[in-house]
Amino acid sequence: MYSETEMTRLVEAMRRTGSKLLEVDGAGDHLRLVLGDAEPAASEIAPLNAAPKEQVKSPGLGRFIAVGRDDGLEPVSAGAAVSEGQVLGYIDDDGVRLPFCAPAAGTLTAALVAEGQVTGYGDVLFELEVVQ
Amino acid sequence: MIEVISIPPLATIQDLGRFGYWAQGLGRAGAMDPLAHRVANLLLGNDEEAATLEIPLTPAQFRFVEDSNFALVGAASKATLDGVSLPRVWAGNARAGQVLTLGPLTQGAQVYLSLPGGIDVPRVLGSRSTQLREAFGGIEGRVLEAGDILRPVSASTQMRPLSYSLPPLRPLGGADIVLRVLPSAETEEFSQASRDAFFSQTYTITPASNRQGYRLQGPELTRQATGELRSHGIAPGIVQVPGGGQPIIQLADSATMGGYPKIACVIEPDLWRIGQARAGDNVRFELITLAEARDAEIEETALLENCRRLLDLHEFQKGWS
Repeated sequence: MYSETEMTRLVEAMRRTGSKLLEVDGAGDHLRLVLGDAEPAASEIAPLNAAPKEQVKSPGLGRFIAVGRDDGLEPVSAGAAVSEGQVLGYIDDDGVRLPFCAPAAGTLTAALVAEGQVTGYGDVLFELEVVQ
Repeated sequence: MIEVISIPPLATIQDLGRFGYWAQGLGRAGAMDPLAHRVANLLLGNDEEAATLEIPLTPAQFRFVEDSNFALVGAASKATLDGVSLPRVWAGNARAGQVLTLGPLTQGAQVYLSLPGGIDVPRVLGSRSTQLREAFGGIEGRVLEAGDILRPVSASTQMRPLSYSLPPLRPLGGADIVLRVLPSAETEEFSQASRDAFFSQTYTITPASNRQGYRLQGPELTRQATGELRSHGIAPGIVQVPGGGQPIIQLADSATMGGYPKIACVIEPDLWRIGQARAGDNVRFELITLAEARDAEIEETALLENCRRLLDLHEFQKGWS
């Protein structure tokens, strides 16, 4: 069904994409390629509906200031569960601060900018794994 | 528009004060932390003189009767709007029906709540401040209670949330609140030891403190001159020393006259620091010159002007996105 060259290219593609199992049905033939030690367990195949990631973006031009310094709030750390509307940080312009909030409830990744770093409007500051 | 659900009986409507009637025995009243009051107004685009609600004691709860902008500035109060935590300096939107809850105050002793255009109460003798002793101004000259309605002077629009970085109450790494003072008429009449102690040692704020004045406890101060003083005019910031040798700082609801000797006067740009001090906090007095006091005033004006300029800039930029 497939020439040796085509089979090699299929295996290379599997290695490149980290696939462990490839099954093809066609023209009365059935091809099954397995890479790796053994048959992949069902749980190793990534679920189709993985947690969608939302991006939390800078609301303006200024320096990123974390929550929990002198604002009376608890600090927000990587891996923390946050609720919709929760303040995640500020963009500071010489004292005037633009707070930015979680667009939805979820789990926060680490901040993608350092404290005090200048960010521009739209720069991605955090990623949020949204709770379904 | 806000309805008060619950609040301890200590909150009053205040603006920057009622000036011009001292000679007739009417003090100025006004916000204990004028800086937080001003920032609360600036964040909503209000005039500095717009009236705010000064909240010295919590817990308190408010319900928004209609969609509204609001600002909350001052001590940290674990404030939540329908469960979402707010920082201690915040201006933003609230929807009709949402509830604003304030918890215990930390990092300060006053929180100011402002509405667009300021809180709408009648002006009496040129000001909206509450004169508690004289029972007029603000809301019927009294503290707020459950059921009171706070109306804004202006309409609300959808706004982007804002915050501001207030100056720290204490110098970096310091445990004491430092109050810059100028000498008073009787300063030289105190013993050298008393003056040395007063301008370097720590004094603690006692619970016998309110809007009229804060009583302090610390090294005893002895005046060496004999004879009582006749009553004379005094003003907020003046530090008097009654017979017991323990100082009192006169504040917003200061009496207009007094007969106690005065050892110093806290400069106006530092009055907000006393306003945000609580019983148990330590203060230290730093003697400065008139020129340094003037510099402090210029610095404070520049700070607020910069805040106003940046807020105008952001307001302008809002149309870009």
